[in-house]
Amino acid sequence: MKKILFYISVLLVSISVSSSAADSIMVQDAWVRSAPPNAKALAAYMKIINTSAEQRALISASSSRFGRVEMHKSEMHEGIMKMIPQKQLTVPAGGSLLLKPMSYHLMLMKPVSVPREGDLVDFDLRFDDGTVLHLRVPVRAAKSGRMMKSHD
Amino acid sequence: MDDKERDRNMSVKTGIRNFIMMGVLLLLAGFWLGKSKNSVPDIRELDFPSATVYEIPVPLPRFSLTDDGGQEFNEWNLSRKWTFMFFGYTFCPDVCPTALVDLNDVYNNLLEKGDLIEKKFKVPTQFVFVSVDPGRDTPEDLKEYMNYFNEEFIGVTGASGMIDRLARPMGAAYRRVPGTDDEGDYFIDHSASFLLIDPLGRLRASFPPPHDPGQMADDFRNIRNEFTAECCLPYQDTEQVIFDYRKEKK
Ligand SMILES: [Cu+2]
Repeated sequence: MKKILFYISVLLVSISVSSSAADSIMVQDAWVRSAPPNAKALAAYMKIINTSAEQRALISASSSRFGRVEMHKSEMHEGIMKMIPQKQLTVPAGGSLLLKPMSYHLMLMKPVSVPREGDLVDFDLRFDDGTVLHLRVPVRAAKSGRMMKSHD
Repeated sequence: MDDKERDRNMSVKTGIRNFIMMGVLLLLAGFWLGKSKNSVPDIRELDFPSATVYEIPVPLPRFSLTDDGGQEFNEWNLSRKWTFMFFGYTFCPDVCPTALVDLNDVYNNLLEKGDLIEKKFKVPTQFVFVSVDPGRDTPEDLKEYMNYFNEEFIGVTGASGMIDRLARPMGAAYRRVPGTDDEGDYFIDHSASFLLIDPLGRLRASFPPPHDPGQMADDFRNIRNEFTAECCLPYQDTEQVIFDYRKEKK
């Protein structure tokens, strides 16, 4: 009897884990744009995928390498590029949100030291359902037409 | 039987004939429409898909800034050169690096084809990044920042009044906005177009984002072919910059 109860409780725990959002939110192709050694701010880009049936929102991000990480969107208004801080980044149910140059990005400010190409930068992304994703994100240069050409 | 077959053949033939005639008509209509579209005369945009070219170039006022080597950079630094100019600041992690990588692609496109210097009048091309954030970007900062993208690129900054003076006639607006922390940090909204200044120091074209460096390089070659002579021919032996004297009221 005790044994059966034990198995039931194990089952319940495993159900509660799998029904939490732990794997319904994922990050793909994350990268930090490499920057000059004296850069005062950097940017990180990625694709955030939400496989759950509910909308999720990224509510904060942090990194041990930066004093401050914000969520921003670069946006054009009457010929002027603006960086607009975002309170949260919404990822639709069963959909994704792309952070990319000239659009949504994580704004990395107050670098402890500016990471170099090839370094891995740790991030904690916190979502509105309590999920925290721990990432290690590579630093690389932005792809340019020229660089793509030199690869072939 | 035979007659019927001939009839059928005939009707197939007329069918085909009608079909061909309709095709010809449609083709003609297409030509006509195409022609009438071309005759709407924004030739400039057709010639230069990535650029807005000013039929009447915009003269710039005199100005005095400092380059990333600590030297004065003024209107004479624009003389007898084609200049790509971009207004930005180094605290900008998204738009400005994207722009500088694009500009570097333009540079490399020209370099690879031996086109950095215009051949007929020997007019070189320079790339200038004007920091609109003199409070945080010193010339030394700018030097290190520019070298990361291209050692040939020139970083320039100076008193904000001088930056305004240069930026305003080019329509390169910028505006300081407070950051989200309480430590006095700020961002600067700014124009993301590349500006092209001719060898007489006049704004000749602008390249609005999103930028296609290959197209920009091609358009630049064409603009240069069309307008270098008028900037150099009469003054071949004398340096010359045209100022906008209307804006020079002291
Ligand atoms: Cu930003």
